Amino acid sequence: MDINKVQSNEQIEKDLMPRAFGPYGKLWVVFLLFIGGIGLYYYVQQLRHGLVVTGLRDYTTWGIYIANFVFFVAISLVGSLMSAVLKLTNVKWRTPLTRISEMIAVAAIMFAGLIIIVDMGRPDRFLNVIFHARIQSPITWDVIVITTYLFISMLLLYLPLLPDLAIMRDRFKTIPKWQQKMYAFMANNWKGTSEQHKILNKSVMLLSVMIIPVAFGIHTVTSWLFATTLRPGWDSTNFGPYFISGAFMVGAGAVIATMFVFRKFYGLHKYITLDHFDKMGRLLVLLSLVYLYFNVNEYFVPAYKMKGSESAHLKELFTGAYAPLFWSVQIGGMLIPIIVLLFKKGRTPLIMFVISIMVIVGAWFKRFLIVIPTLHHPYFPMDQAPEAWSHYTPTFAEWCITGGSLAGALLIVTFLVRYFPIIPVEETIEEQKGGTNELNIERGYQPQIEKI
Amino acid sequence: MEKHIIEPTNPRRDFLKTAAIGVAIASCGSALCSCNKSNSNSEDQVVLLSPEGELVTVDSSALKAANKSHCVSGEASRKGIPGKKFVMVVDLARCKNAQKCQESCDKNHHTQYPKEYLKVLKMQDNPSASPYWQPTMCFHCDEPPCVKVCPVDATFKRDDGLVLIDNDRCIGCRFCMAACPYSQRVFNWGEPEKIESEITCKSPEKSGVNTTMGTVEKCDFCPDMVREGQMPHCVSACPNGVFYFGDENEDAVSNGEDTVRLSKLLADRAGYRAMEDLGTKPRLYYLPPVNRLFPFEDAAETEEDHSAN
Amino acid sequence: MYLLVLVLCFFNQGFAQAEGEDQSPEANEKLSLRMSFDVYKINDDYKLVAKARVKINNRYQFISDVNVDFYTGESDAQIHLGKGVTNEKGEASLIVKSNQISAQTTPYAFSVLAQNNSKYDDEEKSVMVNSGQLKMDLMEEDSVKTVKLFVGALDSTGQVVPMEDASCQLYVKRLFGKLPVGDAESTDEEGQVTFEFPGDIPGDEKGNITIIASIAENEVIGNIETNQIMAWGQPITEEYFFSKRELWSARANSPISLIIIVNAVLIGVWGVIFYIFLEINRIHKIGKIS
Repeated sequence: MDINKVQSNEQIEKDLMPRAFGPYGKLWVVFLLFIGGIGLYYYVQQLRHGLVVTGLRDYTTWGIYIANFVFFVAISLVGSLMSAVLKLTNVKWRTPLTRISEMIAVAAIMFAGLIIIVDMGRPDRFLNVIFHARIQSPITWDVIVITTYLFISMLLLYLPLLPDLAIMRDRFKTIPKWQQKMYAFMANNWKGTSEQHKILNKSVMLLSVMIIPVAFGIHTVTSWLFATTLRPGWDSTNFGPYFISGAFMVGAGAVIATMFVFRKFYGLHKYITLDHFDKMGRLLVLLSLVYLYFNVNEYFVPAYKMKGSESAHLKELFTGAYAPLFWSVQIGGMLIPIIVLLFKKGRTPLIMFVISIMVIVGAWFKRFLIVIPTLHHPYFPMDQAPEAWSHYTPTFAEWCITGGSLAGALLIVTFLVRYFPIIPVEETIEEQKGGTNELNIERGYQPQIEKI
Repeated sequence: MEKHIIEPTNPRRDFLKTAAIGVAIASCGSALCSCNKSNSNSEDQVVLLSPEGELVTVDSSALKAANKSHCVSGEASRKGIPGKKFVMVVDLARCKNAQKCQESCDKNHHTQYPKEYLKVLKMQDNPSASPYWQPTMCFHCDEPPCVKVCPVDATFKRDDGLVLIDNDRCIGCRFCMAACPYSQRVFNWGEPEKIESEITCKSPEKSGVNTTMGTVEKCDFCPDMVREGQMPHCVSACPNGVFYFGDENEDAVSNGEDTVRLSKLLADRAGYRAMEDLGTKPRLYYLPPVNRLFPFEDAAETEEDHSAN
Repeated sequence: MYLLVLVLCFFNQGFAQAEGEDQSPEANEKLSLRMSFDVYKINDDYKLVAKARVKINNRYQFISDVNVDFYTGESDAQIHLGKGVTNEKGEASLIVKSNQISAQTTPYAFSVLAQNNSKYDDEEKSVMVNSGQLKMDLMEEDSVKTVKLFVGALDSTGQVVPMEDASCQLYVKRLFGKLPVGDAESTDEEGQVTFEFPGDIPGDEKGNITIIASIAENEVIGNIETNQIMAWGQPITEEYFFSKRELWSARANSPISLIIIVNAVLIGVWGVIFYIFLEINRIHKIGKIS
């Protein structure tokens, strides 16, 4: 923490407690509701007429829904990165960022599940996935692991929230009755006793350990939806780590973007400092370099061999129809961020915000490039199919539904922020009590002092 | 017409005729079932052996109508026809892209371009080799990658070798389509056209009938025909005897004209399976396009020559 | 049981006459139909096979959906035997049991008539069938599976005269059609021929196999066939996909290792989640007390 001047507890609470939407907030919610509403309208159309409303056809059977699904799963990994990986490695500056990360993770994983139902030809038969489940299918594994991850993420969002919920229960007396009841219910009789703290810390620690393999599982299994097929371009043993490293990178990007936005609109300059940006910038460079390494493996090795079946796919990416998108994504979404963030001057909030948007947009289109071009190069020629089937152009309806899902995820984050503190209040107060910015000992291991 | 029959009226025959015109459909299944075991002239489409051991004759059109009302579903449709291992051999040296297979397949499965179970592809192995026509369809692999990935048991492998789809189970995730390296699966992107048909039963053996939006379809090797001892539609429609179909257990395949030993045919003619290295073990073999019956001719390219004549 | 069949084929089946008669749709709405007609004697029964084709664009094509009627007897006293519709191969056929024509005298006359077809002209073909004999004996001599055939024709007095130089072919019945076994061989002066039956032909589960002896297009006795079931085949050993525990098996037959791994992971992870819920409950209780 880079807070030089110790804040009073009251000040911290005042700064960090959730508050009602201002005019910008309201506008933002209306905007998201509008986008989400359009998506919902087109989804009803899709339910009525079938997937024919999309640009998908035989051969190109998966499109931006699946790309979007992979994107959501990737984003959701940020929760495990910030609250587990950094926790277990004793990185102290993560404290103000864990809550945001978990909120993003929960919203993303919920919409990952929803968008995969949107992609189904028969969403009415969704329960077949449970009642007729074949455990040989990677989809079944994905259903299991996504559900598990959703639960763990929600617990990791909820448990550290308990002390803050108690504060809100005890302090907020002027808010609507339902809100008071909600806080009281969710606070779960939290009194802040040392015994409660002990249980809480132990549980959070346990979940933090467990979420890492589950997070690896969720994205590895998602990569297996492709890697377990025999198609050139997907038939890769590199896919698991390739997906996970990409997910951590875009997750870090998402954290940077959100912390910039909330810092600005909630005036959190005291809590999210330039130092945080600097640290996140370094982290993003590290993660991007790892991703770059797996990219080299993923594209250079097959390109060196230029196996017959792979060559059409690779050539389309490198020099063909998808080349502009491919190089934009690789350069703009990976190389430029690495270069810029390597310099101290690049790790300032605004530049990092722009870079993180580039990373996020690049990551979304990277998923597009992973899912779609491969389908255009089956082993057997497509000459019997209509000419139009050898391309894929998402329809307006498809874009709207995809946009709606993104808006929906942002809406969830927005409402979570509306009702729950974006930065752990109690934790911040505790850290201040420790009186130092370089806490080396994990707070959970310290004897707890009764308070409130 | 009964008047002209010399024999005293054969009740079984009358019964079948009645069934054929749709009055007593329900119970004729048992009679029809017996024919694949006992019909001594299997290429003959109008003669059946009744359970009483009598040869009876019905109009072939009537027989078809009766067949179609016979519905195999549930566990039986998932296990397959007992004692059989169906196999197909496609002789590429005989194919001239007459497209009769495709027409017959489309007609009998109620599909139409571009949703087709059978596609005749123009192939060229390398720039020096002459192009050739290759009919492709579901290869009914013994280690089917599509079945592996199905999350709900909607597509399955049967003991008789067939890979079928239960369209009442399919959730439309299209993972099987991504997993099939041969791109042989098709999807009902919209509401399929309503078929005018008296068939109301739903069965994995009735591919293309009563199909529904948002589910996957593909070639099914016509199990409804095969159950009646008849060849799949593409086999009997081909004017050039390209398709051989039979039972691997019997080590014999037939193209309607000739019946040959499968093992000898594959050994002598260097039969191969598509993309053997993928390890899918298809049940469809190709005979290489050497010593061809027809020179390669692309109708699309030579259309102008024809119209000039 | 002796099968006495002599088939006299009158090879007037349209192939020869038809050439050169091109069709002009203006002059006649209906296309000129050409039919071929063959009779096969199979054990006791007669199989009548008619093939229909028309000339379209100077090429003969077999056509489906032609309605045909089969008759027996001379033209003045024809008796209707049955109906047929040609299939995609242009073929319509009918099995006639011997008792259906018992009232007739040899040589039997069969005919096929295509009439009242909206698209095609009427067409008729007939053949005369005489009695001939094809007898098959199956025996094992010194553990060699041997098929002995006797071929005879009836002379004018009704006596069976052994037929020399009749080309016979052995088949086994398969699901779709007859599989030739060995090469065709001709009878000796006593009307006999002997085949060695190979031991490597698959039969059913018990090794049963339908062995068919056939004489085709013989100029004296035409098409004649007889069959017999014998356990001379290799019994098939069934390989079941359905019950195998493989990655492509049904859900009921998932590989054991996969079931164990998936369930172990599920129980482990969800056990922890369940434990966390218990801990949340503990926090609740502690809070109540304090």
